[in-house]
Amino acid sequence: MNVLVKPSLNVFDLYTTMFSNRVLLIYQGLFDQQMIKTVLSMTEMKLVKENVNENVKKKVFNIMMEGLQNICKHQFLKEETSHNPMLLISRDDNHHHIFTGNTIHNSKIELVSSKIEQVNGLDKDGLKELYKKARLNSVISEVGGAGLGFIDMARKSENPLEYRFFPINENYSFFILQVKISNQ
Amino acid sequence: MSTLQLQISGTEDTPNITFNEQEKEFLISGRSLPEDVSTFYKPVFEWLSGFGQNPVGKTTFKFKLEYFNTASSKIILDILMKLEDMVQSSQAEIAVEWHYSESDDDMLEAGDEYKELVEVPFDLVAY
Repeated sequence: MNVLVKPSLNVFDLYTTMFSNRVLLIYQGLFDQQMIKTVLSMTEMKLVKENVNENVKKKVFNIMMEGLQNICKHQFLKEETSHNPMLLISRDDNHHHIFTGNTIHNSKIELVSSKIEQVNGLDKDGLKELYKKARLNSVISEVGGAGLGFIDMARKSENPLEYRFFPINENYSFFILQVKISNQ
Repeated sequence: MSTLQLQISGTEDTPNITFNEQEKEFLISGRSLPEDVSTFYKPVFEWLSGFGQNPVGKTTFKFKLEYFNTASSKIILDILMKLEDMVQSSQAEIAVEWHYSESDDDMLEAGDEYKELVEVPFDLVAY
């Protein structure tokens, strides 16, 4: 197995980018529940060490968990799409940022965009009503989801969800979701 | 052994769930983030059916969670609705306590929303 770093990868550049963007954690690879627990606990430790406000810490934890369990239920094997899911947590003076990325079948783009646009179009009370209604009507799916992920993330973040799709090939795109939490 | 025994020990991603028959107290605490909520909570729903058929006097259902995922949020609602059914059919006398950390606005709000949704005596308790 070739484990050598490709000469084109400049580790110091990568480090500098991470450092200057205050990246707390970055991961690319498949997720399972064990890996989710591991990255959650690493992030939690870092937030505690940096004395992040308890309310903000809980929001970051909740949103990460929801985003990662979402990916876990919808991820593809790398062989199918040639891309892995990813997670990146960073901060700036005003916000913590949670980025998740995963491959999505092009036929799902419209559905995912419309779900996100729906939550982005609602204010706090609108989101609360939508969450209550959706939860009453939700049935736990075969993969264990309740269909409430985006609504919950939007409520906890108190900011619009930002997202983009990057085309990979004729079948798949890479979906990046960015959730912001203000540092208060 | 009592048929009402319930003892599920908590882990990093699943809650501690116990029923204390002497104190007449059901307690769910910790983190509820299981991947497969339906399988995890199956014994709890089985226990609830048994509880509904064996009145033990006024019982307090305490929820003291640190984190829960959206799938668990649906399950908690299902549990509360089962309790509401028991109260409305006079099968059991029940009080719910929703405990939340003072520094956790979202947990308070979650409790408030459950309180609005179900007709069961429901207290929000800060810790």
